[in-house]
Amino acid sequence: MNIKLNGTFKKTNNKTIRELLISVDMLKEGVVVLLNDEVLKEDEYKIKLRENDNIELLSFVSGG
Amino acid sequence: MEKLKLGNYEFENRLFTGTGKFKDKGLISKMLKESKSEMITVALRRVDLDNPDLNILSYIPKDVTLLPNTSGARTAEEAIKIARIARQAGCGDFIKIEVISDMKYLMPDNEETIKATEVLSKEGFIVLPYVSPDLMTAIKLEKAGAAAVMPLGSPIGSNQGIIAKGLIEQIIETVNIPVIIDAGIGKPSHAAEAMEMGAAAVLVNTAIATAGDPIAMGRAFSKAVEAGREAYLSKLANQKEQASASSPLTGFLFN
Repeated sequence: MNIKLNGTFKKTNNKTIRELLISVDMLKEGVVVLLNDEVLKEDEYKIKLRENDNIELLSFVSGG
Repeated sequence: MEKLKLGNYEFENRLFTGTGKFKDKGLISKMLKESKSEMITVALRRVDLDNPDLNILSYIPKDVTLLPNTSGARTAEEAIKIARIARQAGCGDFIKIEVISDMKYLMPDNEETIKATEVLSKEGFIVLPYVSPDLMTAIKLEKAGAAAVMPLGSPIGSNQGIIAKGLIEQIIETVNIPVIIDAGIGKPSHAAEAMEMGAAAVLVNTAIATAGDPIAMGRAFSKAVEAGREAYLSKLANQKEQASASSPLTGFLFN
């Protein structure tokens, strides 16, 4: 299936958000997950990925 | 000393700090402890999957209030989006609106900032808008529901001090919300000057983070802010064109 991850189109066999996060080693504290512009809570990582989903992985960083 | 109120929050310490540019993030918590700063900024970014930077919040003690900024936003719409994500991600109700599209001087876009303030304050955010010092902008921000207005003293990261002094004084005299001078404050004497002018607080990042000893510099800034605030509350003596002797001009010993 085709998804967009942090602005890049990507083919994936992962079935859920959680699987996708594990595959890119981002099932970690400090990662903010956006699915189609909505922030997901951890218990929502079981949501199934769908064709053309847009996933953004964000984090708070240093800044003034 | 009397507390600074922003939204439903109160702050004893009027030095706000930033997490940017520290060469070692471990210095941040020590700087916060020594300066007693109670509010610190963070930014929100896409994770670099090859080189993730995930742990800034772990360096900030829980009793320090987070002030996420909307840096990277070029329009009101982008700033609004970042603010909503930051709050949903558990960063609290404070937001520093920062909308910049001028990449040379990094001057904020006041018009877009006013638009974002209107929307976000209605959504219950405690909005601290970062703007170029302009009286009408400050008046409009107050009407739009901003909790404070944060004019820059000089371009961000420049350490030039308060080159926009006269313009900021107009804002302080006019608006009924706290005025926090953000950006350009390069040394403790600049911070003291800001507070003497009647600023409610200052936000200092670069001057602390890139100092030889950021921890001691945080402490120095805190003292300057406290001194400047006390001086303002004590009402400064008038400046005069001519000299005015402090000792009696009569009864000299050798006349």
